[in-house]
Amino acid sequence: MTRGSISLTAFLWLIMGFLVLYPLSILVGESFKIAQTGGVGLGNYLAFFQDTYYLKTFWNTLVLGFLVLVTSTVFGIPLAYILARYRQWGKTVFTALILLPIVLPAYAGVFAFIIFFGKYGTVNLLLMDAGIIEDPINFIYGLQGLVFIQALHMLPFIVLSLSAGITNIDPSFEEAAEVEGASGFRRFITVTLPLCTPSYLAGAVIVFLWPFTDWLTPLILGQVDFLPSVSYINIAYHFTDEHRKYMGIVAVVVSSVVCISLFLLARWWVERRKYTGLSKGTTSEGRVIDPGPVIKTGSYLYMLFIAGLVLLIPIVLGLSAFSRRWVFEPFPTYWTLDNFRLILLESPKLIQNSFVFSIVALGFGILFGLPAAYIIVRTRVPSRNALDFVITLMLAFPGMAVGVSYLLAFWHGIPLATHWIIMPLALFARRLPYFLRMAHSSYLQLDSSLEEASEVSGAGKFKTFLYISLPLLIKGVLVGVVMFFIMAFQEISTAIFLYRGGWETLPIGIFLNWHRGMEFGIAAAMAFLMIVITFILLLIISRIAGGILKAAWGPGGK
Amino acid sequence: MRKQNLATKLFILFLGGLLLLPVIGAQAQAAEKIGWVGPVYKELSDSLTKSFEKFYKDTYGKEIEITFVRPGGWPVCLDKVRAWGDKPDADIFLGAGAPAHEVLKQEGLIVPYKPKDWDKVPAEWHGMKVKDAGDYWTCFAPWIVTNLYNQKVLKKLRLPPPKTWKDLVNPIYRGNVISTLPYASGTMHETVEIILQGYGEKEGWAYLRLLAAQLARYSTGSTDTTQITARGEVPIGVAQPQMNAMVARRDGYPVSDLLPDKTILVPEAVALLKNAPNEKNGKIFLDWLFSMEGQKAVLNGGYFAARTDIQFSKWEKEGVEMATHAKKALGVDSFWDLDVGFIEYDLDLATKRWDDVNRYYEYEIYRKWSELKNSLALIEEVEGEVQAAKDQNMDVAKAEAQIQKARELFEYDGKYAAARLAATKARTMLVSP
Amino acid sequence: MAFIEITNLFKRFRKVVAVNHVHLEVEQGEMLTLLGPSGCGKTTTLRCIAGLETPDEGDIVIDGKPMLSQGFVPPAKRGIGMVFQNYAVWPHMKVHSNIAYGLKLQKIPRDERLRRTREVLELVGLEGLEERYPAQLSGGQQQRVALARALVRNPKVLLLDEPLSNLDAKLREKMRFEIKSLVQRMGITSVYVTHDQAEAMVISDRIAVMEAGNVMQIGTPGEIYQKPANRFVADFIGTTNFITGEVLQVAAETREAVIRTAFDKEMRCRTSDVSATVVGETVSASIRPEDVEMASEPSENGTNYARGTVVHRAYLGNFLYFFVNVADTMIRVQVAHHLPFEEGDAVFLYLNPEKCTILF
Repeated sequence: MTRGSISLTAFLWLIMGFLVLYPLSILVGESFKIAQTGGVGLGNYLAFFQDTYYLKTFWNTLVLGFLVLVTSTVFGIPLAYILARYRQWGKTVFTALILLPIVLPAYAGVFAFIIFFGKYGTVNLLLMDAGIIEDPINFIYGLQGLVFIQALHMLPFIVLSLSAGITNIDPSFEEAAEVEGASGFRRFITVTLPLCTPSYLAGAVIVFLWPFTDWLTPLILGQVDFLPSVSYINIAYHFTDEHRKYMGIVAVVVSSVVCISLFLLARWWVERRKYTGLSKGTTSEGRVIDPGPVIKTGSYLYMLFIAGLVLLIPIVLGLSAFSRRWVFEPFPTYWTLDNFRLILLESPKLIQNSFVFSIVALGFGILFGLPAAYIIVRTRVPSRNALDFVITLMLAFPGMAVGVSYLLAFWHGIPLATHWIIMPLALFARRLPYFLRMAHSSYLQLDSSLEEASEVSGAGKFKTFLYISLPLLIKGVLVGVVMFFIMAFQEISTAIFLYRGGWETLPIGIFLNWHRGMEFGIAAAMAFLMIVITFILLLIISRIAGGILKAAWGPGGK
Repeated sequence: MRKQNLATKLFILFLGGLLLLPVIGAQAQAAEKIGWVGPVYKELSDSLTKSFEKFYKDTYGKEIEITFVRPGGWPVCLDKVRAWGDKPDADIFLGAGAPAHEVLKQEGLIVPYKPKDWDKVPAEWHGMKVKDAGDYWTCFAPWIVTNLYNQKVLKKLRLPPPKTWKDLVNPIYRGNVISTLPYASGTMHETVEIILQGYGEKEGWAYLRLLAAQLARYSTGSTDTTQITARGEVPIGVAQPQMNAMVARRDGYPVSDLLPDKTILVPEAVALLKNAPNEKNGKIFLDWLFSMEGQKAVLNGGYFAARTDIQFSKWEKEGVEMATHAKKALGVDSFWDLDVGFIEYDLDLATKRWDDVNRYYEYEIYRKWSELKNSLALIEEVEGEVQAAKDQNMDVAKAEAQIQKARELFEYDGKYAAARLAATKARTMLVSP
Repeated sequence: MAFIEITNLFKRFRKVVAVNHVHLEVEQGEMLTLLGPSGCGKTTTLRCIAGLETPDEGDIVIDGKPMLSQGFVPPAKRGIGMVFQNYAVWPHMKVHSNIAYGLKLQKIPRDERLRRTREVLELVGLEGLEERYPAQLSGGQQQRVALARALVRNPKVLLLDEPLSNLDAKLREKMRFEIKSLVQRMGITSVYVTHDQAEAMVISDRIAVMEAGNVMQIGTPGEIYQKPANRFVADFIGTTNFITGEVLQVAAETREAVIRTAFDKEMRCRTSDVSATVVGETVSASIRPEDVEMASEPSENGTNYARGTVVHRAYLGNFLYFFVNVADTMIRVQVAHHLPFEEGDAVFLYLNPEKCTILF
């Protein structure tokens, strides 16, 4: 522990205090206000836990988290196995493809599914036209649709962490089981999967927590009784009912406490049972199999099936973007380039804003994230875990609440919200956990003796970082950069509350052009544009290092 | 290794560049500006922007830079203005009905201004204020609360369009109706208030319980309801701004609005924010908004125009395309010629009990929704059995009285469990009279 | 008929030939060691025996049953036990479960499972550690768990893939003898892979020295050391001096030859291959350091003597080691007794013709 790292930590705390703790404390403070008396107390929290409705909502959210986790795991295991084990063509493209769902604003993706699977959507219309069914089937509205969409959205996290786990297993563990007489499936269940648990868990927590933060998908699918949706409605639509708003914030605080506790619990458990450290791995690639023709075909079909589901989003949005009046028809019939003509007038500014804000946010992210990762991984500064906690905190707060608290914090006292820098700052604070996770895991994988050797050779900490650590970390950092960028690029719920005229970003443009639910061609065209931009970035990521991406969401270490 | 070093150098260079960005990006100051905040659709703001820019240029020979911010539905817009406090980032609150503006007024966030041609907007309409007596806000785009239905899907289901509120609670429509929550949408709140004021509180809540039992599910908001109805997911959408039907029809969707027997006017209003940074331009805009030119821009933005001296047929001749759609949608030549079952609306009462109504709906209807549906289903079942027994000339007087009691418990007292109990009792009376 | 017969085994990975038409036989109860530098194909051969790799050509017969030619027999059906280099003790199972895993798969009743597990744990000296997780064991203990697991099913063949390479020197030496005596006691036929020649010497009944996918020599440790078949074996097993020279004459019947060495001396020696020893060709003769005699004066007959200077002298406790420069050829000499030579002294080396062999 040097003086340098202490002052660096202090500096990081200062920034986090300013951008996370200060605005959030304004918000959390509201949760203690009592609407009836104007006083302060724990009344709202007591009310929350005594109200059977909130408890039911809480329970629903837990159940949903569980269902989403199970679904994405069941679908993710074969996919992860295929990507990790089979020598197959097209892995890069498939890896990029399965990442696609996380990078779109939720409503754009959900709407694509509604158009396709809705009661008078493509599938139902085709089935009815073919005379297979008489009345439309409700595929998507309701719990089943919610689980399906959220599970698909979170599939990447499961697949990435599982395939990281599978890759990291020393092949001899499975060979030993083979020699002992365990057949393929048995071996997979008794040896491979248990050994993956630490890395699986890291991804699973994020998946499980998603229903605690995603308020929009349940609402669109007509499911209100989930914690984030209830808190969103309470906060956003409280109008003059202060008590409603406070209860909304209480719900946010409760669910973020649950989120963070689970997150930390999982991390603690993973660190306690680090299996992989026991074996001295012989190959870095793990066991790779050349599958037989039947399995090969099967696995291709499976990958195509998942890819098909994922690709529905861009395909449907693309069709909507090039057409009008697509309703009660399985496929659009009125084709037009109008939408693109219109967005070309409007979009350059939006695209420019999106890029500038995301890139500046990214700059902050790198400048802050790398030192933070350094402090958390490499030093023993006392408050380093708390720092990690605070950074992760942002993951659990709904964007709208962050937006409100930012405006409250930075409009009057510290007039930061008048300058456009507030947009990248908010994006930075909200998306930092994604970058930190990458930088953190890259750092863990970097043998500290490499840095020590440099220090022994006479380089200072900073020079060591610049000449030794950074070049070695650069791949992981670049992946983190792209990941952060994508997540910042699609952010809307905070940005929409903070933006001033002229600061509109692409996602805000999509939101604004969402006309009364009819002609959403312009919005679809913008969403399509976003998908194209993001997909190119994703291809770059999986090209640079699919492995690093896996490692980042894996068990957090070798 | 070499390549990595190069990558690192590029990376550092890139970082350095990033730091400079905020410095370079300082914005140029435009001379004339105006800012709007509010929940109106972008179609309207686009139309207004285009026309007002032209007007400003023609009149003052200068460009004006217009910014429009819409962070979400009107309560969210209101929250944004609240967060701004006495330092607003816009000049005009554009859109939202009377209750929102009343709150803005109470919280001191808007200031009075009487635009030119202010007198062309009626002061009151069936008890509903169309403009504030103290000149704080004025309606620029009136509409009525209506219900939307999808002709195509209803036809497929072989259901006639429900004409009245009472029609809507006919069990044949069960599962084919959708609405949102009164606290998630102003329109839905107004609908609840219409029912309460139109039928009286007791009958009103009874009706709302029956209506809730008809719902397929609750939607996210009134825009969501429009969307779902237009796409045919659920054929009947309750609590819809009337102009949504107009726009959907214009866009070629098979929807129609129902012009219910009891409704109110919603005065989509505009107000000048306190401490507006561009107050002068704000006032120019308000004056313009109520001019014929401004009103045409409103109509072109897919909202009805507010002035009493407007004739759609005249505008139609002038080539205003939307006038044709408006005429078709309203069936009359001016919005104010509309003859529907307006109720006498008590705005003060509505404003006063706003939160209470929401809370009652939430606690007594929404939170107990599945219980409510189960109870009603049971009551209807037993009622059917009673009727069947009666048809066979059995003596069902006691059971009939009992089931009636169950229905009353359900409708008027909202005691769903007790109602179920009573219904079960009625059923036993039927078996052993 | 040998217990394990490997015929014409051939395996390549993409373009690299790992095992090149290898023939091997292992007798019942015998311990055969595959010895060679890394990448020589010894592990691949072992994995082929285990069934973890499928060879491209050839067959493996275990106890009269072909593993390949009549359809591939999976590892589980081969009646083998295997100890892996990194032990492969499953970290998520307790010691007991690790060992009983295979028995459970064979559906052996619980009581017998417990009994056999206990027995084998006793055998490897791990009584009382059944309930521990591998992470709570030392490297040596994990190694024993791996061994116990391999033995518990009473395999016909025990395969060991560098089982001691991750242990420290002291423990490694101890375990060599333990494994050897354990295997001998149980009478299991075993194949052992190592790159450590000392380990191979100690543990094996026979050693197969491998290089670049080929078996260079098979024999008892003594044969391998004393009569290396070729330069590679001589060099790889122990240390040796190579003396290059031109062949002057060859006697086919006695397998004797005379060469003129690089330090311009005529020298008599034996040859391992008469036909390859052609007059006029340059060859190298190998002599072990301990076979070189050293004196201050040449003996009477004067043959096979070379004069040199002591360059280094090293005291290694139980013997002395000299580096002697003979006209720029460095010859190593190892003596078990004290000799009074110091660095810089002139000495005479006697290269015993019986111990000096031309190798190819």
